[in-house]
Amino acid sequence: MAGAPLGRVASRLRETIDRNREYSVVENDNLFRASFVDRHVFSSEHGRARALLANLLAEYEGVSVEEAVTGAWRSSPGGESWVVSSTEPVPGPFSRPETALRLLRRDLRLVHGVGPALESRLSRRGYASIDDLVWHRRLAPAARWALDALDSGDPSRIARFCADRRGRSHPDYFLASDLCDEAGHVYLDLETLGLFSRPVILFGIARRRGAQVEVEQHLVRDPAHERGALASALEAIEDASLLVSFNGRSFDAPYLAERAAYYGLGLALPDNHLDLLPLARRLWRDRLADCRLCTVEAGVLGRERTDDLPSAMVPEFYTAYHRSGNPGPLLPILAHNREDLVSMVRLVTHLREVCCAG
Amino acid sequence: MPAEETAPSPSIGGPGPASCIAHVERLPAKEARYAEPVRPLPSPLASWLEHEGVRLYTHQAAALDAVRDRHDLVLTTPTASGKTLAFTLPVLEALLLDPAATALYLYPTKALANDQLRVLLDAETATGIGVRPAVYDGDTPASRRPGIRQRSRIVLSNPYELHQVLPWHAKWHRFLSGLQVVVVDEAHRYRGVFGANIALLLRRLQRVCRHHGAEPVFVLSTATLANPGEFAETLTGRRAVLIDESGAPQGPREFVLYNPSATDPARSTLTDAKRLFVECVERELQTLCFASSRKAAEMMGAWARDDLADPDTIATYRAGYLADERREIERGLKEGRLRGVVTTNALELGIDVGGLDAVVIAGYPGSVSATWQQAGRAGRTGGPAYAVLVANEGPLDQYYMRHPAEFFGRPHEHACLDPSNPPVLAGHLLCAAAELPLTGGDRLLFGDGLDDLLGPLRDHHLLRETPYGHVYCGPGRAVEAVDLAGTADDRFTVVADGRLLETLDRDHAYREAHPGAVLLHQAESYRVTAMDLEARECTAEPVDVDYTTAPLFTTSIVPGAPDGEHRHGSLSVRVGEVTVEQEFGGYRVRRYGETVAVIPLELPPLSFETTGCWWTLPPGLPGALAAASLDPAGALHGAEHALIACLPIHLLCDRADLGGFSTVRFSSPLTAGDGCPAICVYDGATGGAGLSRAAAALLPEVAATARALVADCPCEDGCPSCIYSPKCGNDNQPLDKIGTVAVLDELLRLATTP
Repeated sequence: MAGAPLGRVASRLRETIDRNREYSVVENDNLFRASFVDRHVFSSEHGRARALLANLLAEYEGVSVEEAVTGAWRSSPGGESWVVSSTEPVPGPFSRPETALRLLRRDLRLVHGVGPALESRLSRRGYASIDDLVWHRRLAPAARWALDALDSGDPSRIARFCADRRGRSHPDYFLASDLCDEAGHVYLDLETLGLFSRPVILFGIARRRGAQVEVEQHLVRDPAHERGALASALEAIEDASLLVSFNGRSFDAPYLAERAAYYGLGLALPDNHLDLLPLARRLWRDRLADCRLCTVEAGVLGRERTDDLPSAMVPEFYTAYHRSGNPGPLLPILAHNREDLVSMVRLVTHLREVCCAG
Repeated sequence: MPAEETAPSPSIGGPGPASCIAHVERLPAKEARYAEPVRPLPSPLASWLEHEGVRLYTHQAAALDAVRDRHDLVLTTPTASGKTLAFTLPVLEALLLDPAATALYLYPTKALANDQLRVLLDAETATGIGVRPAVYDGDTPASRRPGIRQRSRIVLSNPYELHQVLPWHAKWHRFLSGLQVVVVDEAHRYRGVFGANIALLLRRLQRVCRHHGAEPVFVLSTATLANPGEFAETLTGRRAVLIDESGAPQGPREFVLYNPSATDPARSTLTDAKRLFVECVERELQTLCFASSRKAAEMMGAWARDDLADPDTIATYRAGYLADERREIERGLKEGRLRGVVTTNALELGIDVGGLDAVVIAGYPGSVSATWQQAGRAGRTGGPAYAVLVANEGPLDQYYMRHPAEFFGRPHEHACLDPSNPPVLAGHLLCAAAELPLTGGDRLLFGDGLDDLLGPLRDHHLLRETPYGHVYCGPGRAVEAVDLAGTADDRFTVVADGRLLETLDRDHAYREAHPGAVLLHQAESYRVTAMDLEARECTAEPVDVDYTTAPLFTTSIVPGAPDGEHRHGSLSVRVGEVTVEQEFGGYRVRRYGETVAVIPLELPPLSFETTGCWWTLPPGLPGALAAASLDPAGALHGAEHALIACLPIHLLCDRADLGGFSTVRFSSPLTAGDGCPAICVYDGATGGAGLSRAAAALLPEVAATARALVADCPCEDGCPSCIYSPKCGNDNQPLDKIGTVAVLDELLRLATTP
């Protein structure tokens, strides 16, 4: 087959793939089940977004990416990356490591061998903290072992200990994250062309610097630049003392691992990774309609987003940019990603206040 | 003949009129032949074999030596010759010597993988080698998956699962980087379009292994084939050492070819097969009777129960029974409680029921190698074995009844596949590009078709060129665009009771799943109630009916410019792309082979591109035929049918995998022979399955078989045993039997004249 028939082969394949998009049910993977919470788009949102897309394409006709987006090339050993930098003032910082430690010491369940039933029996009998359990005949060794970990002064050891005992979606893990220096916290949010095995189009990274959030967005202006952006984003992430994400343990981290493997790059993500989604579910599942980041923002932080691009439509916008070269559709992607990052910083601050208060 | 002396007795050729016995083949017993590997096995393996009292047969030692030398292998030794041990010994040795080594065993079905798992678990216990074998397939619970990825050193799986797993290769780094051996069992199943998909899947596996630093050896096991080496090379893209001499011992065997219609055309295959089965059971022979459909199995089972004094000593077995019922029957056979089982081919493969005494096969199963696989169920270690093949009226059945030497002689069946089929290749290129960037080096694996397809795939925004290679950028998952069972292109689904029955190419859907069609799936009947051409979905319901359906359609073909030519004498067979156009007018309802009704159908015309081969005959032929009072169109049509009927004797395929076209005046602007009589044979699968390409090379042999089939058939003007085709779109009109022989003679004359 040659010429026209091969074109037909490709177009039929494209049709098949387009048809499968709606129900991209991925076997293999409860991994992504969590991420499906933001895989649906309301028709009103969809209509608004389509109108936005048309407006942007009209408005930015003939404009170059450089004119529309202020960014700069940055070199890293892995390649070149186009970085868009910005800052945003936020409440806080709020950090109470001593309070966090004190609260951790009050959680008897951190002691090996203490389950929910035993915990309530113990508190009825007056055991209020792990320190008290040192006098308990049977639990003393386990209590001393727990105190050893909590008193070690090693934030990553304490975090690992809390994760092992209580799981990473438990507030204890969140409390432990307050023990490591906030300067080393890195917030991460990826925008991708799909749920799996397709290029990343935006690596969003944020850090708190005092009362500001510094946002650094590595924009993949063409899939050809993905490897460079990936390498330079990984450099920023790998040194983090704590990685913070929303659904990142299920989505962003495995996605990065897969893309790094795709390009044959080494990857050493920080083990200390705070995923806010399971924590949000645990805290607000009953109060909120769902636990998408924008719902949490509205319901918990009292901030409504206007004209936000639904996550599920990011690939569509990027594809529109990529086929036309018109940078207009990139703007809501960048804005959406930036909002997500800033929201995560606000959410962590809010959670610290809540946890220390109660 | 010395075979007489070793012939087992009592003969089961006895029952029924002696005139029905077309042939009795007595195969003498074979002594075991043992050999030592070049280097002795290390102690845990040597002492395990010693403890089990196992000495290596010649083919097992040869396999061990070959894998040790890092050669690919293709093993074609018969059923029960110890193939599993042949490839498992070198694997276990590799695992013992290198603690990081791993191996992958691929089976065509989940049941086979589970059956083999037990063998490997036993081997692990006996040798103390830390293998941690595990099945990893669609049934593996999510909670067990990470553990298997991290710890198992032999993973048993199937191609469908491998296809899903490859995109996740990063998670399999430990396993893939240590991969030393890939075992592909039952490889002969991977032919046609399915085979092309598996061939490309295996290339993707090689590519990912290379990325993780491994270069595994491929060990294939197949049924007997005419072209095992070539087949293995096409399937894996690598050269393989052939091991086809079995050293395993074999008891004396007697194989009877039994033809009920030889004396009386009204005699039924099923009643005679049932009678032979009952007689075997009554003679205290533990017997398996293979039926070609569920209904046939149920009927024979019920009749046999009526005939037997103790009906509870026999059972019926088929797919669709609950797993527990099936296990119970398998146990009953193994323990000897059951003296006979009537089964569909659900029991054909791998499932261990121990050796039996006799096998009755009701109807030719479609290929010589499948017949031997079923017959191979008979024969306890070294003991005598009996097999009877009871013929149907079909042309293949009748051909072998009249030409037993062809059945027992050297294998004729070629397994074909064509991994360059563009629709199949395109889908796997996308998968490959989603696994690792696709680079120029991948041309070595995927062939030159890669370059032709990159452009169109880029144009449709599925691939993007980057400095690192082509990257997949499509809007959905690449693996979901590929259906391993067929071409990615244009697939129809058949749904019954909300459950997916199967997926079909558009042309198969038109022929087999149009509204009103009775569809056979795993020996169960379904009637299609609706066909949605837009959504490409057919709805069906299970039915219990005694009729079949066959579509009525006219075919025309437009050949493209040929891309190959086979010259046989002065006959030139051209190969290339053909466009097949079919108009569907209705369908026939057939009961016991008779058309009882014709029902109109409204379907838009069908058009698809595939590979075909075609040749023209001298322009004077129609005139010469007419002068001899023969019908030229009927003669060419009959020759076309006879050739296609005989292709499964030479190629491992079903006649339904091929289509044909014949004309008195060929219209072929792009190729030679315009206006001449012509015959064309094309692959039914879109894009081609490699069948007609292989047929072009074998045409003189096929024509000789076809001539013998038609000329030896005792019928007067053609019958289902020679030139009638069950899938003829024109209700077998016109046909001229004497003219058919004349056309085939002309074909053979041309092929032998320089």
